[in-house]
Amino acid sequence: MSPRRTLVALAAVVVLGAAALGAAQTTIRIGEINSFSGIGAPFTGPYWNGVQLAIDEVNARGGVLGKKLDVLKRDDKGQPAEAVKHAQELVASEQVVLIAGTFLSNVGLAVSDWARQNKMLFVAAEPLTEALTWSKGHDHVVRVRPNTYEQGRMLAEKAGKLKYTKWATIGPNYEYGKRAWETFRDRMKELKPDVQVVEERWPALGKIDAGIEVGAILAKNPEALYVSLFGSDWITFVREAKKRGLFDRMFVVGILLGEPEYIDPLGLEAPEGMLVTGYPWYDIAAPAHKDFVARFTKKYDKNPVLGSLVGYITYLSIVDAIRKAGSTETDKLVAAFRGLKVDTPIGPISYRASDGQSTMGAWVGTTKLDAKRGVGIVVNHEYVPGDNVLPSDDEVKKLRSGS
Amino acid sequence: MGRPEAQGRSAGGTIIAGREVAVPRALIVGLAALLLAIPPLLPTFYVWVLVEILAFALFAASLHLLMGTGGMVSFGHAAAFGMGAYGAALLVRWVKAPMLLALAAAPLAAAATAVVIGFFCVRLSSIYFAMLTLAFAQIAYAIAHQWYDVTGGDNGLLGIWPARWLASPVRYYYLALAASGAGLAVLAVAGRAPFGLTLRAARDHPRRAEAVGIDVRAHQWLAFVVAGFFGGLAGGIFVFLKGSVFPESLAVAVSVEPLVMVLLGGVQSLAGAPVGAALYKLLDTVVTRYTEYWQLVLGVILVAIVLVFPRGILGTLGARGRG
Amino acid sequence: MVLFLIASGLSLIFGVTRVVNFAHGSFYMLAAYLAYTLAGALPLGGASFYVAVALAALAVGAVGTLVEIALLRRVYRAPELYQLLLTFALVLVVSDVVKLVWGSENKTGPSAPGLTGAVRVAGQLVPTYDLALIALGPCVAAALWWLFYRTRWGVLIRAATLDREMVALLGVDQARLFTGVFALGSLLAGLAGALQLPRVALTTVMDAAIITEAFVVVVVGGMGSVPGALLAAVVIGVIDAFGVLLLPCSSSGRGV
Repeated sequence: MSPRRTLVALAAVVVLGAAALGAAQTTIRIGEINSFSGIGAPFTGPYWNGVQLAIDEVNARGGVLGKKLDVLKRDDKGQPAEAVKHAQELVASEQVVLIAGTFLSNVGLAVSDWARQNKMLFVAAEPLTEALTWSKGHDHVVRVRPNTYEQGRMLAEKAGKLKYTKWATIGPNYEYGKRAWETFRDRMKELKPDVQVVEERWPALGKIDAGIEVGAILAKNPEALYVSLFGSDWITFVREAKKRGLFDRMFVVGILLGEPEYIDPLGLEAPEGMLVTGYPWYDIAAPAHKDFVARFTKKYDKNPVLGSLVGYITYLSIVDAIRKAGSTETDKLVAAFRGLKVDTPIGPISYRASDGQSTMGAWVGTTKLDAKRGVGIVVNHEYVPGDNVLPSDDEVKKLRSGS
Repeated sequence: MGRPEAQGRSAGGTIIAGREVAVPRALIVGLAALLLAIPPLLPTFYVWVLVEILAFALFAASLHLLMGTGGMVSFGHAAAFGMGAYGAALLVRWVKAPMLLALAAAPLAAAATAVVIGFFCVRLSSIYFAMLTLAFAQIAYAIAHQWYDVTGGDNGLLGIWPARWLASPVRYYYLALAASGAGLAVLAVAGRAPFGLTLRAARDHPRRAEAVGIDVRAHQWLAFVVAGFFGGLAGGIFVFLKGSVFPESLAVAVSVEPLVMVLLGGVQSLAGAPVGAALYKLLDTVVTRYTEYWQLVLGVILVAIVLVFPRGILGTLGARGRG
Repeated sequence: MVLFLIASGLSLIFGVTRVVNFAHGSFYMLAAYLAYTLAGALPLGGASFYVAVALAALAVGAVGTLVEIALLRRVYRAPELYQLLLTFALVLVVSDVVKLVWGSENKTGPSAPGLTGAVRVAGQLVPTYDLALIALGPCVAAALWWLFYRTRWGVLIRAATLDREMVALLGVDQARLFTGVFALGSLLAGLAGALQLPRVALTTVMDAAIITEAFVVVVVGGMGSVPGALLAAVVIGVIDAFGVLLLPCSSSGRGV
C-alpha cells in the first residue's frame, strides 16, 4: 500500500474518531444494540418503534435530569461478536451511559459477559434465556421480558389442568427452544405425573423441513403438541401441518405464538384453539394501555406488537432508573434498578433485586380467528404477572451461585 | 456425473494468472513504524478495530498461502480460525489455562485439525477440494453447536478475556501486533523459500512437478497445515479480543470473509491479503456505523472496487505500474 | 424438486462460465418476493398465482441477464475466482434491496389455487401442491434435455461445458453464450423461488438458507451436469428425510 494512501486512511480514521469524541455532553446517550438485519429483523423493527415512541415522549417533556436522551442504534447482524464490537465502540467512542437491547439469547449472553467485564450496565430487552439472570447472571445485567422459565410455567399451569398425557414437542435446536420445552415439561410432570413424552423434534433454526417434521410427529400419535418454533419456521410449519391435518388430530400449545408478530403473518390460516402466551393489544381494558395503542398507531400508522411494548417499557425503565439514581454513573444506575418500580401502560412492574428480572408478565389465552381483522387473535386471556411464576429469592441464590 | 477434470490435477487448479507483485521493503518498514507508534494516540475504539484488522490480516494471509501460492481455494478456512478460537477458549474454560498458554495452543489446535482435514482434501482438485473443505468446516460447526456440555452450544464460551496485565486496549494491541506480524513474516518467508516455489510449481504444472520428483500431494498437505496453523493463531487473537467464541466462528461466512479479502487486495501477492483485510474491515465498520442499510452500501462499494481494480487493488496497481 | 431447479441453474452457470455464483440464492429470494407481490396485485382471480410465478421467474431471468452484461462481463478476464467477489457483493445488495422494498417482516405467500388440499398416499396426507411439484420436476428436466440435446444452442452449451476455449476458437460468440447461460440459470433459480411461495415463509435470509444446499447438490451431482443435479437433488432429498427422521436433532451439518 502506498505511503500516501496509508496516511490518508489513518488521517480519516483519526478525524472520524475525533469527531465522535467531540460531541458535547449535553445529552444522555444510550447505546442500543440489536439484530436489525438477519434473523431478528422482523422483530426488531417494531421494537425500535416502541423505543422511539418512548424517547420522543420523554424528550418532549424535557428529557431526564435536564438533558435530552439520545439513543445510538447499532446492528449486531445476529452475531455475538459484532454486538461486543459495538458495545466496545459505543462505550469508548460515544460515551454511552449504558447498553440496551439485543434479541437472540446468545447475543444477549455475550454482551452481558462483556458488561460484567467492563463494569457497564446492560439492560437486556428481549433475550429469553434464563442463564442471563441466573446461571450467568451478575450485578450489571437486568432483563425486561418474561423469560422462558416464566412462560413455560405459565403455560404448564393451564395445560396441567387438561386431560392430555401423551405429549410431543417441536422447537428450534438451540438453547431457547430446549429450555422453553424443558420448563414446560418439568412443571407438567409436577402437576400430572402420568405425562409421557412420545416425540421430540429439533429442526435447525430457520431451516425447518416442515413436511418431514409434521410427518414424524403424526407418526407417533400424540394427544398434544408443545411448540417453541417461531418466525419463519412457525409459518412454514403451520402451512404443512394444516395440509396434513395435524391441528385436527392434537391439541397444540405454543409459547410466544399468540404474539401479533407471530400470529399476524398467518392471516386467516392461523390455527384456532391453541393455548398460547401472547399479547392481545386489541383487548386490554386498562385505559393507560388503550392510550398507548392510540399514541403508537397515530405515530406509526400500524398497531403495536409485543416487541413494540417491550421496547417502550425498556426505555421507560431506563429513564426511571436514571431519575431514581439522580445520575448516570454506572454504580448508581445498577443500584437504582434494584427494586425499581416502573409505571407502564400495562400496569406497574418492578425489577427484582435478586436477579434483575422484571416482573413483566404475559397473557395466556386461546387462539381464535377474527374474520373482520383477517388475523388470529387471543381470547379468554388472562394476564399472569411475572411474580406469580418466578422463583423465590432463596432459589435464585442457588441458581446464581453456580456462575 | 458431470465432466471430469481436463487433466489429472492435484488439489490446485489454474486460479492465478499474472505475476507476483513485490512490495517495496521501505514501505513495509514505514508501515510497521506507523503501526508501532500510532495506537497510543488513537481513540480506544480504533485500537480495537486495528486489533481485529491484525487478526484478519493474518487469517487472510494464511488463506493466501493456500490459495495464491498453492492454488488451492478453500471454502472452509473458518475451520482453522474457529478451531484456534475454540482451542484457546476451551483451555481457558476447562483447564483455567493462562492466556499466553491458551494463545499459543490455538494455532496448534488448528494445525492438528488441518492435518486430518488436509489429508482428505488434498486428494481432490479445484472445486471439489473447495467443497470438501466446506463440508469439513460444516462438520466442525455442527460439533461446536451440538456438543453443548463442552462447547456451550450456541451460547458459546464466555469470559475468555486477556490476562489482567494485557487487558488494556493498547497492550493487547501490541501483543496482537507481535503475533500477527510474526505470522505474516513467516508466511512471507515461506512464500519465497523453496517451499513456496515448490507450491507454485505444483500449482502451475503439477505433472511437470511430479516428473521432476516433487511429491505434490505431500507439499500441498503441508501447506494446508501451515495455513491452518496461522489461521488458528488469528482465531486465538480474535477470541481474546471479543472475550467469547461461538459456533458462528466456524460458519460459512467466516470462510468467505478471508476469500473476499484476498481477492480484494489482490491474489497475486501475499501483501494483498492484509491490504484487503484492512480495507474490508474498515469499510464494514464505518458503513455499519452510519447507515441501517449497510449491506447495500457495502455491496455497491465492493462492486465499484471490483470494476475499478479487476485484479484486486495491489494486482491492478502493480499492473499499471509496470506498463 | 425446487432444489433441483436451483441447483441445475447453478451447475449450468458454473459449468459454462466457471463463475461461482453466490448470488444464485439472492435470485431465488427476489423471485419469491416478486411473485408474492404480483400474486396479490394481478386482477386475474385464480390464475394470478400461476401468472405471478411465471412473471417473477422471467423477471429474475432478466435481472440475471442485466447483471451479466453490466457487471460480470467486465471481469471475465480477471483471475478465475474474481467474479466471486462480484457475486458476493451482489448478495449484499439484493438482500438490502429486498429489505428496503418489502420490509423485514416475515411474509406468508398465498396458497396455489386449486392445489390447496392433500391426498392420502400410503396412509399419510401429502399436500397436492407438493405432488404437483414432484410432477413438475421431470417436466422441467425433460424441457432442459430437449434444450440441450435438440437445439443448436444446447449443443454449444454442452460443448462449452466441456471445453470453453475450443468453442471460442471455433468462432462462437462467447459473450452471447455466457449471457444466455446466465439468463437461463437465473430463470431457473427464480422459478424455484417463486414456486416456494405456498410452502415456506418469505424472509430476508432465504438466500443464505438455500445457497449452501444448492452448492452441495451441485458438487455431488457434478459441476456442469444437469442430469447430475437432478439425481443429486433426489438423492440428497431422500438422505435428508431419512437423516432427519433418524436423528431428530438435525443441525446445520445437513450437507454432510
